[in-house]
Amino acid sequence: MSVYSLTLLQDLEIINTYEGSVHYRNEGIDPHFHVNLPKSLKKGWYEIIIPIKCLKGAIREPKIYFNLGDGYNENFTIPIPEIKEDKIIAVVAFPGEVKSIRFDPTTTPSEFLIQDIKISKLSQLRAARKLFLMLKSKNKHNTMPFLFTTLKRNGISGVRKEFREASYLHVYQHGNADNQSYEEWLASQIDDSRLAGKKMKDTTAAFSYSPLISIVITTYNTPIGWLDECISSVLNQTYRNWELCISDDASTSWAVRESLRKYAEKDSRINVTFRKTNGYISTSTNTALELVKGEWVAFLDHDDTLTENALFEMVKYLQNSNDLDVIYSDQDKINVDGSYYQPFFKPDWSPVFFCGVMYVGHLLFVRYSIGKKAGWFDSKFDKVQDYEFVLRVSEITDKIGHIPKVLYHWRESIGSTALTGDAKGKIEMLQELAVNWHFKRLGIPGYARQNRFAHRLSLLPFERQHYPKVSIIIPTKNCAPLLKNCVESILEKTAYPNYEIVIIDTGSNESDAIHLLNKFKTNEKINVLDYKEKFNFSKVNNFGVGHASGDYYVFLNNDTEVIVEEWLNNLVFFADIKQVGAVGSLLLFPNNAVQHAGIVLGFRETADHVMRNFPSDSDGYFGSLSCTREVSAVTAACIMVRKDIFRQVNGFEGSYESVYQDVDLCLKIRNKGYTIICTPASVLFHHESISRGNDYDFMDRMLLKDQWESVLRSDPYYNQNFKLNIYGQGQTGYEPKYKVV
Amino acid sequence: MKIIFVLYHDFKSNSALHVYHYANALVKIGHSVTVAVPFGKDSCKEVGLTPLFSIALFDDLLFGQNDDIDIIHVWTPREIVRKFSLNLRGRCRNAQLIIHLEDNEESILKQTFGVNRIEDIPDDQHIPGHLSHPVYYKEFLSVCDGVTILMDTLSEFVPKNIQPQMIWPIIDVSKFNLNIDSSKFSKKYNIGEGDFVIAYIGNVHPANYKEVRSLYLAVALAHRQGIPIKLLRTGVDHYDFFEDRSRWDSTPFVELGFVSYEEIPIILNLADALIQPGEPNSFNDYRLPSKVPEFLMTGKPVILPHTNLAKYMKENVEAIFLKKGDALEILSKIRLLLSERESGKAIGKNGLNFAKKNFDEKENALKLSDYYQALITNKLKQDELSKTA
Repeated sequence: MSVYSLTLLQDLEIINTYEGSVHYRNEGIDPHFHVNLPKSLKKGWYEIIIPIKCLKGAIREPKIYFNLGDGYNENFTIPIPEIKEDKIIAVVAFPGEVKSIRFDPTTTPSEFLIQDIKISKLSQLRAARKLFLMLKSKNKHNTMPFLFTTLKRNGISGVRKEFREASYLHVYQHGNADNQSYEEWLASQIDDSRLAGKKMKDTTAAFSYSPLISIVITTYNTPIGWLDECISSVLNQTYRNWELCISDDASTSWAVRESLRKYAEKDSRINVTFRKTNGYISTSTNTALELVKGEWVAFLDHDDTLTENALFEMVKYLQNSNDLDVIYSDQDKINVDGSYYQPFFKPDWSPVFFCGVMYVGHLLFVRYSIGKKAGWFDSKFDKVQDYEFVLRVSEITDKIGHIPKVLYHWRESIGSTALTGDAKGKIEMLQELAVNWHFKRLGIPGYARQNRFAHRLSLLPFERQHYPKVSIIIPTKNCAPLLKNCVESILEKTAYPNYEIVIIDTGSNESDAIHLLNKFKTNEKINVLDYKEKFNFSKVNNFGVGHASGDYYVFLNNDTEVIVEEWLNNLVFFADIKQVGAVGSLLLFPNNAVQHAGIVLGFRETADHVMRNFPSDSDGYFGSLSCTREVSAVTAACIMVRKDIFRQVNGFEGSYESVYQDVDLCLKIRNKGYTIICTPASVLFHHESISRGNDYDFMDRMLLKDQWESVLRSDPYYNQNFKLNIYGQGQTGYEPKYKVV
Repeated sequence: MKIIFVLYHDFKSNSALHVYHYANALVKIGHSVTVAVPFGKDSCKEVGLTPLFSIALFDDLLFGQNDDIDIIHVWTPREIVRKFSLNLRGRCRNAQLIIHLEDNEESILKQTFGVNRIEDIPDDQHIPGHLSHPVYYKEFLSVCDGVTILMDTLSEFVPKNIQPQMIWPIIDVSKFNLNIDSSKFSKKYNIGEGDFVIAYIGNVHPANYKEVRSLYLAVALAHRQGIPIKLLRTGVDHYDFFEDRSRWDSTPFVELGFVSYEEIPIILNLADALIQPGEPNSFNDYRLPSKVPEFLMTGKPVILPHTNLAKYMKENVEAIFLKKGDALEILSKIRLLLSERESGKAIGKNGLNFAKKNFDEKENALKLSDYYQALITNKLKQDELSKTA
């Protein structure tokens, strides 16, 4: 048994000390202690004993919180049923390594004596025995038959409940959210909003900035039930400073017109204009915009609904970011039976990804002045008018924010793209046109072309006039077959005409490798260098740069193999975009599963590959695999960086010996204001770790955390509603925090 | 003068040492001093200190003879101190109330309650005794007669009508004049010949674990890069920053745990350089870590964050500054000292001169005594004026 002291964090007065115990007085509702663990507790069973003597009042609802690395929250708590004989005893199964523990002794006024906390590791057998004995002492029944009956009647959750209710004992049940369906999870998010609103007392008055939001709808023969739901969702908003601007696009349905008239009569915040002729969606939306008096405009389709906290969340977001010009949220779909499903958890603003995927969607808020400057909607792009509009807006402003909450329900109906992507017809052509015009206006020498998935575009370069030189830098040691495969695939398959290969030999001593390198020395495209010092990935690559003559550097592992001829053309295309700092490729295992499609911050509390083991011919999460997108980092197994940017960040950091120097490089590049891109238009095989083995370096991990800890907590391109605690060998990433049925 | 210092904790806190030295120094120049503690009357001796002043519990003073108290000097405006000292002052007709500020109390409150603004702390939030009340602490400051501050930045919190007096820690110089047989202690602390020794004195808490982790990492990286280095560390870990202790090469780390106050100068003298890790931020900008004056008194080069005390020092002349405080920066400073040993020695010598000049016991005690006297004189004058008016 180990004994740990307690450090008071909050809410208690020290009255006196008696031989090591401390007499506390509590007059608050949330007193708590930090348990002084000198090292983390490993996963497994533990008995926790806290001697605590109540002197006045009562000890109620004591709780233990434990931190598995993501901080404290209500999902990881052990509520203690009651205290007996001046002791709290809990038998707990920690599902992972516990970094820290917090003890909340009570929620009511009281005085008590407490000294420390005792924690003992239990084997599974001992834990089971303790649980069984306590259940036995609680129940008068014969325990085993009782348990079997409970199991049969109520399942394992019933058995757990029985153990939980036995005094002294608590068996931790992992992750409340894991057991919630999507709708339950969504409801709990809205509840949290409601609570936040209540804490602010008056949701409108408590905000220092409470703009008038104009919600714009255009209607045309809307089914009355859906129209009612749509408008009701506006009327039910917890944020009250809104107006509703409706343009009816010459509905032939009297019922629709009459319904709109009645709404306008009942509530002065609702303004309706009736168009005499049908102008279709862009024209009609522009008509509705003429009614707008608000500083901000939100767009709502006539058959969709808002969550009740939609406007509240948007205004709350603006309190700390009121220089933004555009905000969008996450969304989900309304099923034909009225249930919610298929949430779309979006990344933060990703302009390159947006060119390939119409992901911004709903709920979209635009500052009126910016929308007006952009010229509002263009009827030439009806069917993709909101997408094309945002492309134009993004040319005026980059102050585009994202609220990672589902604030909009998109109705699934015949004719709606919510049901099937194709429903509107000719979408891709319009999408391509919109992006091509966007590229032209921005001077980007490329074009968009539909790929094999609906509503997905590949972004490709035009034929170039001038091909700047690329230096492909490859450290190597022995591994002749791999190196041969790599270099020959470059020489034979690379369409890009102007490159050199810089091979850095870090001490090959096998005859076939030496022979191969000597052969390469005779190739005018290849420069072979000797590096005699101790291997350090960063230093070796920096050394290679010192002998490279290109304007672009590609750092390439010797265990890669070119698949797509245009791999280098496509890397250069994106690297040429002014705000892009580095570009990575799609890397595949030999079995064609994904080995690398970008790195997410926060995995394993540092960073790791996302979509590992996904089928390479899949769309990924809403186009994240089939389309080029912004990411936080890419692997240095294949990464392109412009020479000027590489110099700006002083290259790879030499203190990393074997891993994470690529993540560090990308974060340094991002720190300078650039973005990192991962493109599936550049594809190579990667025979991962064959050449270097699995040499995960713990000090390198600690260094990355030391340098970037606050940045590593979340990833702007990986929605916070996905789990980060992904382990194991399966497919990594895009697992939501609720239970997927 | 009869002076009462009021602590918010017993003598096991860092603040207590600051008060201890001033109390002793004021006694040496002829004043009568009592230090009041809320509990732990014997804690002064328990930590190995030798007071020349008397110690009393709060209750002892409240019910004792108080008419002749001249100065009540409270250490922080924290609730436990505020309540007691207002009570005591009510019983002392002539006492001048002085509040000492040593931290950004609002920053501590915001961190504790997880808010960005003081105004976001709910009105009905209970404030425990070891914190300052977000509203009452300002009222407390407005009714005091004088304010002492540990760092100039804290004048931000002083009422406009009060001229604060900055008082730095004072050092018992005698403890730093030991003739040490280094070889004897080197063996005891497992220091090899040629090892570059860094010493860090202090516990690890949730509030400072990142800074200490950066230091440990810097030493681990130096060791990995082949630099012969040792970190002598005293203190206790109340927070696990290692993640997995077994994966750290323990070779460069000498963990001494809790050591007595007398042993600390020996450890400091063994070091080639001393370090206070950290970076300029809203917490460090307002404080003066109590160990730093002792570090400077050793005459060894000191590495510290470029804030608080460093603002009064010359970079790379009297001390070496950290701008970011991360492991790579610390490592670069270690490399600098290794490559420029003579410069390091000069920096240490200049740092010692700075310390002697600024942390001198008698000089600082006299300065504080003069401040007290000025307040008393001012009060007498005001009393005279109001009598004649």
